[in-house]
Amino acid sequence: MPGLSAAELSFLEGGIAQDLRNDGRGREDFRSFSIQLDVISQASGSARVRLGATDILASIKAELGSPPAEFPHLGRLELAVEISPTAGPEFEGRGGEELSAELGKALERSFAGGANGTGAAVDLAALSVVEGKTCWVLYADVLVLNADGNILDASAIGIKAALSNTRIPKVEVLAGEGDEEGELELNDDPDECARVSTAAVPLIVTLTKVGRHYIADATGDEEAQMSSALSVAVNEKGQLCGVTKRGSAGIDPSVISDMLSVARRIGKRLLAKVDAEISLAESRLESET
Amino acid sequence: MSSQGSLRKDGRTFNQLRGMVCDRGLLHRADGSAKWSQDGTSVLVGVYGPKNMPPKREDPEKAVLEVLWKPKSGIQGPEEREAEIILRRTLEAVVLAPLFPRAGISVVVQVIHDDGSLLSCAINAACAALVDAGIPMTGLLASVTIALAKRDDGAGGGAHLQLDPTREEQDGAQATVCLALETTPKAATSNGSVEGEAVVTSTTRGAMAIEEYLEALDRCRMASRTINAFARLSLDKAQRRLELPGT
Amino acid sequence: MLQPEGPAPSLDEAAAKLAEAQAILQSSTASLPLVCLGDAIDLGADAEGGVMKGHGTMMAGEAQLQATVCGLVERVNKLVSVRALKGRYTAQVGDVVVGRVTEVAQKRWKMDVNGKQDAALLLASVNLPGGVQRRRTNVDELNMRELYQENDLISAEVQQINQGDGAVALHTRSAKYGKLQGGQLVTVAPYLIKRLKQHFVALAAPLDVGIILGCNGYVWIGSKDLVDAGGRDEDEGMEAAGPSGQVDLQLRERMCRVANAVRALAALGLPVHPPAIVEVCNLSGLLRVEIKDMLGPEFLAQVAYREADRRQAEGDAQPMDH
Repeated sequence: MPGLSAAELSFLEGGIAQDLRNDGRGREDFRSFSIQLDVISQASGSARVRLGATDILASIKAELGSPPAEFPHLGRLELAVEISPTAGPEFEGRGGEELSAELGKALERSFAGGANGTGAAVDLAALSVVEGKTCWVLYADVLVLNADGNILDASAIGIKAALSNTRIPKVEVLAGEGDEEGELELNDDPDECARVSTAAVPLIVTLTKVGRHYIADATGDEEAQMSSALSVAVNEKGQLCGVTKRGSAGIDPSVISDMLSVARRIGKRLLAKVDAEISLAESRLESET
Repeated sequence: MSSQGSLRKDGRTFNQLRGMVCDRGLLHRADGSAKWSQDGTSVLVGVYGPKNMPPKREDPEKAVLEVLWKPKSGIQGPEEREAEIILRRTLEAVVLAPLFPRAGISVVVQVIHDDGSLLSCAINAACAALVDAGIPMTGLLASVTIALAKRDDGAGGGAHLQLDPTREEQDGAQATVCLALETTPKAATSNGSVEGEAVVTSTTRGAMAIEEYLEALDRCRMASRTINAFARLSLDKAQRRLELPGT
Repeated sequence: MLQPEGPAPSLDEAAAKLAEAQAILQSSTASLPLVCLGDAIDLGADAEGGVMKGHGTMMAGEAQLQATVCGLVERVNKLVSVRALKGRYTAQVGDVVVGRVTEVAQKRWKMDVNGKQDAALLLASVNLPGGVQRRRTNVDELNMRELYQENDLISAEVQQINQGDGAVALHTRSAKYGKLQGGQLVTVAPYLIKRLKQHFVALAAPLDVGIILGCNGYVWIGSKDLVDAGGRDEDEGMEAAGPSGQVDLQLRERMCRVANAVRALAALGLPVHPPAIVEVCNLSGLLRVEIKDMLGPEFLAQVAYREADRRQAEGDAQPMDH
């Protein structure tokens, strides 16, 4: 983003202080967003999310793999974020890579759940095929095509939507002969596929501190002025699934607890809205086919 | 898959292109952008420019074209760098660079999905993005890939020419040809107007007989007309979406 | 620009309405002389008398003119050119522009004006505090940053364009030009800004804000003081009214509404000029749409419909002058 003049900055901060940002939003308002499902037909599930001008593609590829060594009864969820250089000239080369890695980590923290898989975004136990040997691995990839702030929150919405669209082929373990391992037979008939429950998938609300206040869903210009940001993952039950602090400035601890409750409140509203948008996208998809 | 009349795995004939989709103007910060899809292969291209170039990289005679090719995942490797060079040379042949001395034109290619004929798809997308940015060119580009599949029956020789191959077809081919053609304007002749095509880029992999190459060239010419017709339709639609205020 | 393909808006009804409205708008362009890149341009009667080729064209063989961009064919006497709609700003002498300082160089500021190159604002072309006509001294040169720094937004006028390489020189030699403060910038595509008699516009009450429609697509929304006839106090230099940042809430609300009206018009690809802006603001008031919802699909659909209705009422497919 090109830099803003000192005058524009103070106008921006003044607006935030008065709860009237440059586009008329209050500090806690999200921009309007849209969701499109099944945009990459070769993926097991996919979605495109447009939040303001921020445009991301989330795709899920389900592949058979080996379960984690410490928890042989679970499957795996692997997350990655990639910011395309098309998102803006500042994302060519190293800058883009670093931010991609940082956001990927933040997503992982919010979606991976505890060490033993409890509280993860998806039911990892349900992904197991043969305990200790084979399981489904869901590779969730986010590609950021256009950046106008708040990539992380948009990515979380994208992954939730893509997961709701994901079909996992049915696997049958055929009886082996004697000591031999049974073979796996895959049935990818779309009617026989298993769906992934997204009830536990959290959403992320990033609160960006600009001056003395914090705002939700910052645009590119607002984000460029941030001193620090707190990304909070909230799930349907109102629980916090992950908290990530970004930015160099410190945040006073008393402010943090306030920010957490604000994030929860916004998160709840957002979850309802996202669920509604996903259903809408699903019915649109059905009417097209 | 060996008899002449049979269809390919996805139900196409050997001479059939996949369905094309072109979206324009998707990136709000780029001067021009286009997403070109040939069924499962999809490429997004953003164009920035003509714009300022740092003094040490500028050319006093013409604009400098730069291409950045980003694979779907992972970092750039030698294949991506090769693709950048091929794409840049192709675009340099049609972009009227001398109109913008000292400026720079940046072409950013993002692979969204690769199901074969990736380079062709990228060339088509890049051309569409340059048009979207209003950058003058000598003509529209159309690129097609042809895969020479081995015949199943050893006797009979020769290979099947598969137009717009999928990843599977491309990987299993004996050789592939990727051609980029520029449509030259209708030249009035005594027989009426005739449109010609000029070869801008030709990239081959694997070995093939010269006759096979020439036949592939011919098929590509035919196919390029279809691609051009589609591009023009898509362009006309996109143009009409832009408001045209009176001067 | 709104994404052209795919159902983008959140409410299906709004999406359908918007698509419908846009289709109607599109059909009004049916009779315009659009050409595609590579098309031969019909020379018609001029073919005999010889034709001069303008921008966007090139000779292809003998007596054959070809379009090098997609756009509108324009004929002025013997000059035939094709004007591409999108693309960077092409300056004309006398244009009012809003630019951003990218570099403070020797005796000049380099400015981003959304053009193919940065424009130059020479030290000799600005009004220095303390009198317009004094000679520039070395001290002035060293103190350039006191006047305009990197990233500052400045309103200026195109003074001249270098024939050879198209380099643009700006000047601020008038009380109304100078540094912009106490407002916000909205960027739109340059082709949406028509050249008007007045680019400094004071929108009447109840809106009561001032806007500067830069021909380069940079639109500044600020307080009316910028635009008043008296302009700035020259002795104060380039300071705009009001201490920076402190803006009365009511004024801020009006500015946001106008800014969103500009954004809405730009999103729909409609020309951005004062009557249209006022109409969109009035519509939002009429429909009791909150400022922040002006960028949502429902309101955009309403705006598109209004425009489509207006054109159908006008009855023809010609581009309209408002």
